Amino acid sequence: MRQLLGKATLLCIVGVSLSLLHAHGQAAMFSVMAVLVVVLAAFSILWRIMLARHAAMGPEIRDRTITWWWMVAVFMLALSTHRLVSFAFLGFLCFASLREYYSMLPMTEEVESRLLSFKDRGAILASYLSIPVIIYLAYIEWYNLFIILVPVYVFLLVPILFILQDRTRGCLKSMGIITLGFLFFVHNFGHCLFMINMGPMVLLFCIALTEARDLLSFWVGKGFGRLAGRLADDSWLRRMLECKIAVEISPKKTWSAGFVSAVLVSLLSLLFLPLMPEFPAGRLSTGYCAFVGFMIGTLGLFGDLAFSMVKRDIGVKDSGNVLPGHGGIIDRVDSLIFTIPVVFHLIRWQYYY
Amino acid sequence: MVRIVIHAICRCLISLFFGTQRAKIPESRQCIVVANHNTHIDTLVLLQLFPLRGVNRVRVVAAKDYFDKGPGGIVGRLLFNLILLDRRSKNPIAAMAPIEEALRAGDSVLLFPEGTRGEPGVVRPFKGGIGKLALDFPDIAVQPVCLHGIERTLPRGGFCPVPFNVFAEPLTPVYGRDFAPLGPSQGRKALAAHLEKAILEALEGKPHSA
Repeated sequence: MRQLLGKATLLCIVGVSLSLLHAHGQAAMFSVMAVLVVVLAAFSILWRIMLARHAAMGPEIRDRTITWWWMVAVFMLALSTHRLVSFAFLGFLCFASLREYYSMLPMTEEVESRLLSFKDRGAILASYLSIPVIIYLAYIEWYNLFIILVPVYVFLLVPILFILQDRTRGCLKSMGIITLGFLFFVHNFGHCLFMINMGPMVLLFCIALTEARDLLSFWVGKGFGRLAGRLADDSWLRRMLECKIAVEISPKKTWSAGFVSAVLVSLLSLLFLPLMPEFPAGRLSTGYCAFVGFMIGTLGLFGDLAFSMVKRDIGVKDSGNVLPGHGGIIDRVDSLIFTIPVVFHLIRWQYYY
Repeated sequence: MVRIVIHAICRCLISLFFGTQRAKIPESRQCIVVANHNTHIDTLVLLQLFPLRGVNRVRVVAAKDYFDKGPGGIVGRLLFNLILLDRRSKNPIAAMAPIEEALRAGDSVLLFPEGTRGEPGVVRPFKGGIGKLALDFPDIAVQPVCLHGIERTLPRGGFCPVPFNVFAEPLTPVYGRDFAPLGPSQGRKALAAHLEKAILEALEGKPHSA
């Protein structure tokens, strides 16, 4: 009964956002969404087959696909209804991931073991409060203040708050951790807010390619691993295929799989070329589009690893359990934190006056 | 009715700000809910475990010295169906009489055996009163709930709640009848100690964000 209700809601959301996109004449967004729905439907059939055959990956793919359905549906609804809804939704996403980051860190009063202290709550509240300001600035398109507010003013606010609290012990650690949090999740990730002004299609371009990279690198890595297993132990090809990026952080990630999936993403990005909106300085050129795609491929890899690194340091596997099959919100947005600001600036430098 | 509307709004706000997830307690009939206490938000989060229309049938045990008069009393009475407990009473058994009355009337009871919010993140020894209640009503489930991460949101002395992920984890229920063979005095202590241990273990076991 509950399951049926869930499915009906999901179909409703997908249907409403598709028809809204159609009604607003956003043909590009409509076609991307249609493709996503088809891909998800294919995966839904795939996991049913895998479950019937008792394949090992079956339950994991099922959970992931169901969560993907919801993420795609909610995201498309947010982008298709109204500009205000898109800003509110993405702002909330910033907030939720920032909250998850701060919740992940142990907070105690013992100086040696702690990462955060209970006195840090003020500064943490300040970093949450910067999110509505950023949303407003992006909404009124005040670019200059948007781009310096967090790295200059909020950054300086934290030590000022600490001084007002008159504290010395452990303040360096706390300052670093809090600053890292809002630079990652409010500043870097917050670029997606200003990206809506470029056209929701640019945001969709960036997010779709980043998530595609995550999937591709998984399968490419698996394929290369199998290939390397078949080669002779001392062959140069095998050594090249098994060249690891960072064994301590993630023992499975190799340079070859990362590079190949970056190239694949850059090819995939060319599919978006006809869909991209016209910028003030003209349309996106083919070469530049491939370059942006390649940057997404490379930076997504490092975004993924950066948060694996942070999670390893704290000693958790997933950052939460909000998204069944994926873990927490941070586990899903980690690569976006690296790709969104870079894609934004690459396009802005080249195609805006 | 007004209270149900207020609770519906509170539930939405709490889910948005603290990312609480819907966990239902397995025993949705009459029960005694016991949890670790750190903030004023605890009670609101714990009431999320109950169905919305049942909110009025959950009696919240609160300290008389804190919630009788003043702003605490007004807000407390507006939100909850309170039972005021005199923490400084000379005769603890008489002081607990209203709770027993509520249980006899078929209401659920929510209480914090630590007796105070205390230091953030530190679970204080559980008081024996919960043991007495459980032994007097041996067939009503005592439902321990472990609140993760809540001590950060509004610790004692803080005046503004700060959003952090909060997770209420219902643990295995305990029945007074299982402790009755130990005798009234021993059984009471053993039950309180058992609950305390269960909640401490749950706090250790899971990361704050889970």
